[in-house]
Amino acid sequence: MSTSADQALIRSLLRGDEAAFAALVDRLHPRLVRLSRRFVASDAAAEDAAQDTWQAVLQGLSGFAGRCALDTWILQIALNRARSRGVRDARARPLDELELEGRFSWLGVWKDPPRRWRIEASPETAAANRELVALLAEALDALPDQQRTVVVLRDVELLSAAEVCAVLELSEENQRVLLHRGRARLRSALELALADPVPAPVPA
Amino acid sequence: MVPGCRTLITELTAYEEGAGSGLRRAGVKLHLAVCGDCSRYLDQARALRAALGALATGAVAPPIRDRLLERFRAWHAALPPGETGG
Repeated sequence: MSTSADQALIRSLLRGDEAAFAALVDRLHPRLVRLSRRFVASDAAAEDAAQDTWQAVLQGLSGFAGRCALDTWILQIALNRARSRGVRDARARPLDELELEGRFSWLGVWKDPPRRWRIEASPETAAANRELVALLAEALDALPDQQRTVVVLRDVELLSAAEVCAVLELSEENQRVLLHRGRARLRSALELALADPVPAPVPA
Repeated sequence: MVPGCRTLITELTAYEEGAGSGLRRAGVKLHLAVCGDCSRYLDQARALRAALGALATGAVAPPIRDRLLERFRAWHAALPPGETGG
């Protein structure tokens, strides 16, 4: 449901309040560009898609029924536009390469445990590591569409689980499954790129 | 009950989202305390999330802002009088 703050903002926009529109653009436009960028092939196309989104938002504004939050509605429009423009081919790696299932013994214990990465990446330092961030952007683009969308909304845009469920009209359970699979694939993709080579066995 | 490695990894996101009973969560915590492999997995998963957050950059370039404001004015000028809320 939209809030009373949303309703007040919509009334301001319909009255022609430019400052209110500028504030909304400042707050959401970078997010719309980033989201679009994960579906289209170039920065320019992402910028176009985001600008088109605003056009659609303005056109739909007087008919916006307030069934959801204003931000949710704007993100839905942006995602629909970006996805329909999306020319990204499925560059996903073969599934089995990124699957973890084969890495456990029949007892459910690691047989092929997670490998050490050749760059040090703790939760505290990872964001400052350009190589890691660049690899992630690439791995993200190779995720299946739905997983990518959920991971981007949760882990890049930092929306709450409830907000993502609202934007994508997903159940809580489905949202979590997509998030889990997407994150697991990203970690596997990074491992492929960053893991130490398996040490050769020492001759006896 | 303390989950095994495969179960823990499968349920990791649920755990991190705060799902599961207190007992289950205690089991996960106990497993992580003693299993270096699963701890490494968790550390890597958390590092990855921190790095994903770094993708959230960018501001609105002034020419784009101006263009959008121009469109806003055009849109408002074309609104039927009944829709402007008086």
